[in-house]
Amino acid sequence: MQLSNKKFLVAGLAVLTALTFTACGGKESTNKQAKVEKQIVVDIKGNKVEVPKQIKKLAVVPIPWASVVYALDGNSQRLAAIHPGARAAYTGKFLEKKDKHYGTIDIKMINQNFSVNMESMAAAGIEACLLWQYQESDAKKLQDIGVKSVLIYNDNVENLKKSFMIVGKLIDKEAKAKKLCDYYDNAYNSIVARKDEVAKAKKPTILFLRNAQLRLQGNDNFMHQALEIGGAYNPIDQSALDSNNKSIPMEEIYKINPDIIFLSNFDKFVPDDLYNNKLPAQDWSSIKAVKNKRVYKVPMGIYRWDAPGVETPLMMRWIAHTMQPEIFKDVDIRKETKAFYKEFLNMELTDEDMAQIFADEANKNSVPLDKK
Amino acid sequence: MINSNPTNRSYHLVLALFTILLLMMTVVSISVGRFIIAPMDVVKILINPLVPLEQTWSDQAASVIYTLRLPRVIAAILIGAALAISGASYQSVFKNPLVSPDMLGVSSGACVGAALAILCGLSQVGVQVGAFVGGLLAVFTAVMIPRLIGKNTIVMLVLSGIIVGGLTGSLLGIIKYLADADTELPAITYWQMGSLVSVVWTNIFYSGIPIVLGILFMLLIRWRMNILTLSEEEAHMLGKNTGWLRYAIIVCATILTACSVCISGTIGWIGLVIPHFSRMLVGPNNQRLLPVAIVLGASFLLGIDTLSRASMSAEIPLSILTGIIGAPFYFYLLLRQRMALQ
Repeated sequence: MQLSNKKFLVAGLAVLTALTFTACGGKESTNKQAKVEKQIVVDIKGNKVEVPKQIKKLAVVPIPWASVVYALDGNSQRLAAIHPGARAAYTGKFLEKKDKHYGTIDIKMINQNFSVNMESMAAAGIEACLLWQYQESDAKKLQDIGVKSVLIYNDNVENLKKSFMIVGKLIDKEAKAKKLCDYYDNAYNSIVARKDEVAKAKKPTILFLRNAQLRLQGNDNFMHQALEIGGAYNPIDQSALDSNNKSIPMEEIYKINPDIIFLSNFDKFVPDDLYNNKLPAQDWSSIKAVKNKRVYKVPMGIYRWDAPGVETPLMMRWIAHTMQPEIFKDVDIRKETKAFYKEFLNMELTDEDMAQIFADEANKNSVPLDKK
Repeated sequence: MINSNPTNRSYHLVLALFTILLLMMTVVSISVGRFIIAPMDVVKILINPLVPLEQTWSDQAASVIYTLRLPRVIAAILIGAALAISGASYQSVFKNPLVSPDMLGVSSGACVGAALAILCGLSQVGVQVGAFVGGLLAVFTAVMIPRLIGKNTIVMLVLSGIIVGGLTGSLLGIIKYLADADTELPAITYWQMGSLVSVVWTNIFYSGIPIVLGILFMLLIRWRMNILTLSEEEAHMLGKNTGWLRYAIIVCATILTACSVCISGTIGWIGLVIPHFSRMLVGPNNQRLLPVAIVLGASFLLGIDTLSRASMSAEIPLSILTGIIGAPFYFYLLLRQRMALQ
């Protein structure tokens, strides 16, 4: 048995070493970079994070938030790492024409499941990282290795605006973040101001699809609300499905027989796929929206308009304008969009850009929306 | 009696060699990563807490070592050892070298538990607890089925393992079907592929202590494990009742695997390939097999995890690497075995 004694000794030593390291781990905090100007940012969880006033390299884990930073900065120079999903919303889309740098931002450091290769981030000299509010343990680790981590969330309007302000403060663009929040409030208020007329109006039944597998879109807090205040009748809402991402059976669609169908940019499908019945195992020919050519691909600019982000107020206006063209006939969504891109994104939109954002090509066989 | 065997010297040599290899790999693993730290600084950072030195390194470097690398290195060693020893002991219990620790559904049960926790939006700790409980429940069910039927044989145990495997597969399917395709589904998929990205020191405490205790227990009773490889009649003739021993080993191996997968997610191949390789080196005697399997398992996972975190700026999930490296290696082992026979 002399043999196993030795083994116990080795095992014991290993444990001892482990415990020693644990007890001593991560305690040093001498600060060598006293020269850098610092500021305190309070994140969505109330954590106070000390960050450099001028952040040059920022990593963004939550997908739509890369476009928020883009909007606040008016360019993508500060972005050093983004989620692969944010790149997917760029390649071949509107932003690719406008910003070449965005296509070169690293997408390997952040994984599909939102986990982060922390050493790569530290090695790349990333100063700060935006994370979802539930990623607290990742945030702590990043913080320990010197990447300042700031938590944000966008489950509802209030948190979205709060997070706009947090990011604004973080990258020293507070005034612009405030303007963005105001823009949001204006859009919301201008639509809600007509709620009496909307209540009296005949509401078209809407079906908002996320993909060709009949997964629903537009039932998160934002689009759900936008559809409601914009005067749509949305019979298959979240409460009926108890989860926001379930697909619905084709028979259910026959039952509600929608007047208007929206197709999200999370999938490549277009109105013609429905008009020409090209989707496998689905027969759309008897659906009202298809018979009346009222299927629309929804707009997409620097990001998908139907996900919570900077373009959400534009989407709210577009929905209201599409649902109740009479009530919202003074809304000139294209002019509004042009002004928005000029003000927030430093972009002069050409007619070609407009056609791309509003998917005019995909929607060419649909009943034209009021182009005003 | 066993110790007087003439092959003892080669066993000691093998064990010593691989222990040295493991120690060297540990040092190398702590030194390499995407964040470049000079090797001398690594050594100094490690010694500093014990003997304070003049600081020639950045605070960031020290944090990278203590927050990111050390917990991962220790976790890889513990989990590699735990999976290898559970594999080896399961193989003794089932008298079959093709058995892996997942025979009675511990990993697939852990998967269901973890996926359920992810679906319910629980925190990381919740997911770990879910995985642990799921793993234990699956094995408990698998062990209870033969008792309920009243036919307590190895074949029954294997069959009930298949039943539990089928059930957990379907449960996981339901959970995946219900999961949010943008957030929860990738999280579940990644969990199933195994990773040590999220290991923190508290994991080492809560999982490490039971793992070390479990390994010690296995080592203590390893001479008895040999009895299990005999047929029941032979064991009875030796005056040994193998019933309790079999359960004790199943319980212990299950806890070892559950403690491992609950922090790393499922990692395939180690529990199958490492015991097999160890057996080729030192023979089927558990007295020698288990220590060698521990050292080899630890080295293997440590190597794999180092590759996973240091080779690319993206993290490669562990099961991808264990499969890509483990499967051809297993083929090679079988081929060599075959050649040796001819």
